[in-house]
Amino acid sequence: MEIRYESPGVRGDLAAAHARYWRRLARPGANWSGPERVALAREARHAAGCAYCRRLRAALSPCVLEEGLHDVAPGNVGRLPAPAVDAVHRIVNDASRLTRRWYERTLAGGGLTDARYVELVGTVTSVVSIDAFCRAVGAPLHPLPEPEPGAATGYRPAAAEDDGQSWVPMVPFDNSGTPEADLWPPKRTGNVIRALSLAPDEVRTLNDLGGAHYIDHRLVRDTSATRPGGALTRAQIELVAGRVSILNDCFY
Amino acid sequence: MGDAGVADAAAVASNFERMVRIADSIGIELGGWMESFTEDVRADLSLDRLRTRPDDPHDLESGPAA
Repeated sequence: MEIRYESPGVRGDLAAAHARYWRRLARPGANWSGPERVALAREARHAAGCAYCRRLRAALSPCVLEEGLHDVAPGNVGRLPAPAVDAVHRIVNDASRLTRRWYERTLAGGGLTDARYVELVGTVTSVVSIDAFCRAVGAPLHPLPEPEPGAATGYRPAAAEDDGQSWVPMVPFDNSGTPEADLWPPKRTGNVIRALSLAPDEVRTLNDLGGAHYIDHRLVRDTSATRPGGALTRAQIELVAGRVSILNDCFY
Repeated sequence: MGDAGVADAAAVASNFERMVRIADSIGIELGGWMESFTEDVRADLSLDRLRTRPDDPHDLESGPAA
């Protein structure tokens, strides 16, 4: 699928990165089939208008409002496990109030494993990001891709371990000598990059999209590094990044 | 700033619509390097008040911290 932006000032590498992701979205992942991945994307888009999510957000705690059902996207009814639908909606609408207890209860609800949850997070957040960019530059949202047939590969990195740094197992900082050695330079990354490593292709997507939207992940610690040909200084980039993070109540 | 500046700002903003959700939904800790690197700025800006953890007194599901 080709993606172009008519909006003035949009770099061609952004459109190219978005097109790469849209093609990947349609293909089977490690834990979800192509139709399931596109269904997750559809649910992420639909969640923004969910009336139950609005009630949850207005509640003092998202955990005290038990009654009610999410407004499931047309075409998705019965296609995704109920805990997956709930996870998609909460990640889109109220991520800052998620807790480990909620995560454990969600997995206990059936239909999700830790790896399926991680790939769900990667898929939802990629779609949220690309859609947010489209809205910001006044471009229409890209039509969801036609899913490709085939089963999920079931790949799970053997090196992934629970090191107490997150709710899910992650590939260790020292990823040298593993099939995941390309995800980050050995011992030189942050937990936010390792976060999705139980589904390694989600980290590859993160690196690809992040390199186009923000800065090459390998250069983040170098405060003098900026985007070649970019219109913003590094200080301006970090100001925008920090402002968006605080508006989302993100501690990280 | 110009069109390119606005478009690049949109790219950065939308990138962090993703990153914050990843951090929150995976429940990551700051980690060793980030913990020490940001110690001063977190204290100056009281950023730790935004932390959501199982023992967070604002997490009503878990109840008040001991």
